[in-house]
Amino acid sequence: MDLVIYLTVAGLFFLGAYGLMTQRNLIKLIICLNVMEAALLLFLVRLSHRTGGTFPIIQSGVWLYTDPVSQALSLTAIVIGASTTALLLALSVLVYRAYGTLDVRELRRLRG
Amino acid sequence: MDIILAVVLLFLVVCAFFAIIAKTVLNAVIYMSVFSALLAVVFVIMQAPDVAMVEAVIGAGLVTALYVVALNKTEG
Amino acid sequence: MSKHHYVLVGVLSISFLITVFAMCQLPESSGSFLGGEALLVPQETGVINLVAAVLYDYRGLDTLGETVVIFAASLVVSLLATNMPSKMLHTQLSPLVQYGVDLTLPFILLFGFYIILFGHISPGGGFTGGAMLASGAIVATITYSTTNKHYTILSHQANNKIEVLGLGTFLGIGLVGVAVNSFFLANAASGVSLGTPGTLLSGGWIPLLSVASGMKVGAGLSLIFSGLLEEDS
Repeated sequence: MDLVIYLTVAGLFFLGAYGLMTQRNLIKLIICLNVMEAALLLFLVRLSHRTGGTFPIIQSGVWLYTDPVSQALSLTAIVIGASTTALLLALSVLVYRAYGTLDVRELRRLRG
Repeated sequence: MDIILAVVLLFLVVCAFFAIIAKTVLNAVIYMSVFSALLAVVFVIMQAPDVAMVEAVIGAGLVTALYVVALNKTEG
Repeated sequence: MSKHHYVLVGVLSISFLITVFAMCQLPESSGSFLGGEALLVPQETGVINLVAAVLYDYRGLDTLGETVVIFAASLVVSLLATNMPSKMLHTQLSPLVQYGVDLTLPFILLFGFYIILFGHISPGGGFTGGAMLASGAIVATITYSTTNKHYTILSHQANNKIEVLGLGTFLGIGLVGVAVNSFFLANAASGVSLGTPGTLLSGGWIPLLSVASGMKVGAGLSLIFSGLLEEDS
């Protein structure tokens, strides 16, 4: 089962990287960054997983829990990812106002 | 449970692929919303309910609203 | 499909295979990593949700830094206020949507408050609840705004005050630890009563820290949204 999760993590990461290198629209590029971020979150949660472990809330009679440290890490990573996404979107709206386009090739031509 | 997890992971990759190759950006944003919801399901199956709740609220709800606002401002 | 395209796909496929091979060298996911240590957490912190214990007690300083990141993001997005017209504020939604939001919005907000207050004994906490409150505010803004009126649940100034109040509460609780000759953000070491783990009033400062970060995250995310939505006025 681990192999399937690893394949998904690597697949999502390099799918995002492929989109980052081939897409032209700035907002599509931000979406590709989000896909790569999701791959890393899945990897962090996989690191916290224990076979037979339950969710990290203490109950009587349960001895094996999943690792809470990397879950807390991924929780903060999601919230910070949302704020960086908002920042990138605000910057791309500013780019549209200044140049009238979001196509990165057009933007390179218009430089200066 | 393993079969459910494998099927949801497959849907996850398919959703990401469609989000990246989508012709219009609005379609890509909606695919990303579905992608976040599926990711929340994966987190629940992998025994991480706190992360799943944050991902469902922020990924599928809040970030989608931010994308739609930015699209609204750049395509008019 | 140019030649460069095939080279790119080839390079990415080789990197994919190398990454999967490297990840397969990681140890198996079985084993009792947390067998005994986890049961010490309720004695040390007074909460039974281990994620909340890590977020607000053991790694409280990281949480403070993370809330400051949201503060900075909301500040910068408001600074970059893009005075472009946003069409979505001027579209009249159908009455069905309006009635639906009328019915569900109180429950969204109530669930957000519940998640914040019960974060130390069930999944959730300040971040999740704050994001839920911000989502409720966003839904209200999108639904109730008309052509000449930009509806918000709380005004810009009120959001700012709540955000600063949350940050101030967090810092103040941290400084209590310093004042009693302990370390910054001390919980049990600052002499506060921990209560019975598993009840609502337990965990020392942790429920208060959860409320503070909930205020901070909720106000910060709604400020980010309204900063992005801002129009020429």
